[in-house]
Amino acid sequence: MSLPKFATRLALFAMGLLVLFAACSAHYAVLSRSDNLGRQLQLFAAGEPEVLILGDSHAAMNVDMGTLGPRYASLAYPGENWREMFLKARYALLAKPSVRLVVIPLDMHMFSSYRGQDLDMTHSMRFTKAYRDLESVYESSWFQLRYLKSLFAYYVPLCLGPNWSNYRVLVLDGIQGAISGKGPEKRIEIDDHGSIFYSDVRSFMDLPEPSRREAARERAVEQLRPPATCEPLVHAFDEFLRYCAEHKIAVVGVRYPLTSEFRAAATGYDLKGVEAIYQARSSSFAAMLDYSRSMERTPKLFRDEDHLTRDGARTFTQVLGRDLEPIRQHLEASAGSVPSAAGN
Amino acid sequence: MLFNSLHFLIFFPVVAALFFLAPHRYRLPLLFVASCYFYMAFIPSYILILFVLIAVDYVAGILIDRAEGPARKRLLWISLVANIGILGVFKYFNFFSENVAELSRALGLPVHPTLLHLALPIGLSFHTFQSMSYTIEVYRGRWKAERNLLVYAVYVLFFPQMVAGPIERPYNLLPQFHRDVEFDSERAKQGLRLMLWGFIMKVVVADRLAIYANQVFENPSAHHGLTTALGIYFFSFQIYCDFAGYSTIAIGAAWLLGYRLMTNFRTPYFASSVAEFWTRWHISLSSWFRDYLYIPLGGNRVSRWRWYFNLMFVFMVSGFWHGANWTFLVWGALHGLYLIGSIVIDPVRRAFLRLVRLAESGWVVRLVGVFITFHLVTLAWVFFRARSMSDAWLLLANLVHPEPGGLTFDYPMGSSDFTLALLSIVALVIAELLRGRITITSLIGARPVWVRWGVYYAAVLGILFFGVLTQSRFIYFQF
Repeated sequence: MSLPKFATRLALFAMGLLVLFAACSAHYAVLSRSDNLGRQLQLFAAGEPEVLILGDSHAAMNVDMGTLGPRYASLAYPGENWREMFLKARYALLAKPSVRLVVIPLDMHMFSSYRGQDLDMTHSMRFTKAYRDLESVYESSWFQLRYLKSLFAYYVPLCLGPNWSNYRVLVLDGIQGAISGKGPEKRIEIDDHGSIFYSDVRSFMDLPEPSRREAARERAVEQLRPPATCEPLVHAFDEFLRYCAEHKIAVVGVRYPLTSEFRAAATGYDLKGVEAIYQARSSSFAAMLDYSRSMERTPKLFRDEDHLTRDGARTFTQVLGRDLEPIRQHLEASAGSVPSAAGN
Repeated sequence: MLFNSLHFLIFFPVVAALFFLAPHRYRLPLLFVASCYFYMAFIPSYILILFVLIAVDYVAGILIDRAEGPARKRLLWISLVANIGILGVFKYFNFFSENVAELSRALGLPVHPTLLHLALPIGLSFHTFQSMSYTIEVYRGRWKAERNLLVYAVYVLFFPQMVAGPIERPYNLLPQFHRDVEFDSERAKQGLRLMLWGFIMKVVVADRLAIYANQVFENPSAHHGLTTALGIYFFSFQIYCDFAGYSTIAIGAAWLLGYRLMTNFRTPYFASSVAEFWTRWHISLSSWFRDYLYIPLGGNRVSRWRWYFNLMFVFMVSGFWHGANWTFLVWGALHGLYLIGSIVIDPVRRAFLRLVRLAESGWVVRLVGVFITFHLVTLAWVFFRARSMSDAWLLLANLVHPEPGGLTFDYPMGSSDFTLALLSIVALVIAELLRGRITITSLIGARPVWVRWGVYYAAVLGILFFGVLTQSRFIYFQF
């Protein structure tokens, strides 16, 4: 067979494959309407929260929303960065004018390349698809191309590899559920209050000391590898603070609990630049709360090097709620006037 | 660039199309540029290391060819020192520095280790070994030095095999770059089928087994009994499918372009002895050690004790080649011990077979041999995969303790993933058993086009549906 004939056949084969691909993608879109993020957004839409918690897995898994009560809502989601948090906050504050206070993470990895490298906008497109909105925080070389790619992946979700795993799980769980009559089994669950948690039960202290150190070292390499501050993320953070100030939304920063192993591993990294970013913007915060050492005496309450178990989350949330409640009450009393910096 | 990435799925068809559309004289420069681009997708600046290696070995090859007497040996040593030196700096410096500091501390002389914060260039061990095989072959007079710098550069950089092998020999690969390649649709189809099978091995089997194996190996104290045993078995199949999958994709991609790479795996887990295993596993590396280390040391044509030393030394170097960690050294030493042990007990084994009247080549003996060999190899993988020696011992100790609260053998992953993992192993074993007897061409080659395409559609969608599409790295990239 000649090269042109072979190429034609290959092109025909590829076109058939694309049709099948599109059909699977449409099927997936139907099946995935009720994922964890969808459920979180439903819960948020149903309430009238005054305080909104944003952040990545630290905020999502370390804060127990059942403990905080209905005045608080969480839209924190694992893996989120400042770009996503900013766009999500705008969406949430427009949808719920009742929100007066936003709680955001002040962890040391929030500006690192670990977070900065995620330039996929598909996740953010659940909150806005407007080109200008996305460009304001995702500005990068080849933005137009990235925008088109993300928009394509938003409408044809199986373009993204991890979505195939979700698709398989949904299809197989559906089949299994139909046979056994049991509900689907998830690794990460969401409860009726919007708290996200791992469905397994384990403690970091189950590991021997060398393995804990090694796990913490690997996590630190992953999260804190240089550069510790990516300028686009600092820009998105500033946009976030500016937006909150413009709309008279108070901001509280929280540094979440860490194991002593992780903090030891983090000492090898130069994080002065990150600290300087937070300190330079301290006047934008109603409070800056540092809990990074707060759970050191109860290491059993850590699931891994930087996440709490469900019991740990409940214990920590009691402390967090105790500190947030006076600020919320103060805001309620002053009805909209934004308090100035009062860090600890 | 990873084979299992969208990047490669765009890169490869573009390169293949340009390769066959371009006139012959432009094809080698195209392969050079494509290979540089492929490598630079990891850490761009590290291409300079490869250029240095290429320059040193290219010049060394020509000078060795021209030189006579002891000068040849001196030039070979310069080439070897350059290759091993670069490998030593990037891969082994920190290991030695830390261990010297540890030893000094033990002797009461506390020394702070000097550490280099350098990322290991992808596949450094592979291309340094391929480069060394070239200068050694020129030194031995078995191969004339390559005069064409571009041909030599493509020999070192050839993108299908540059980062994880097969580790080619000059007499296999270099002559192919001097020949003009014509497009052959049958060869292209064979290449694509090989690549498809490689992707299935990597994405569907290896990466799924990795979910379970990683949980067990990264939390060794959290698992016991059958859970731990399954993690170890799963890793045994994971590493095979990961590495053989990479090699199969590499061989398929090269074959599509018209270049034949050497076979790297031949159903290694069906080997009935550890010695046979090493003729079937990572053949390009084991034959490298045989040709360039074991035989020069005297091989088995020496006294018995020296033979044992040679075996142990070669396997420990092989272990060290894989990584600068005591776990890899123990892995290599275990294989050395297995081989020495099999030599020592061979007379007893033969006497036992005569006693029970079993033929050496009979299926019972072979089956028992396969079972024992697989378990010996799997036991050694514990040291290969464990993060530290203490983790390895903990895993082995936990094997004999049942899981508290009963068997929770599907704990580290969801039950559907676990079922898929088991089914993928069964499918792999069946495919390996049929290998060489039934081919996809013999099954569907004569069928109508809609049947053939249906099978290929099912295979591609099967990879997407059953695969783990998180672009996990190939294990052997780290070496």
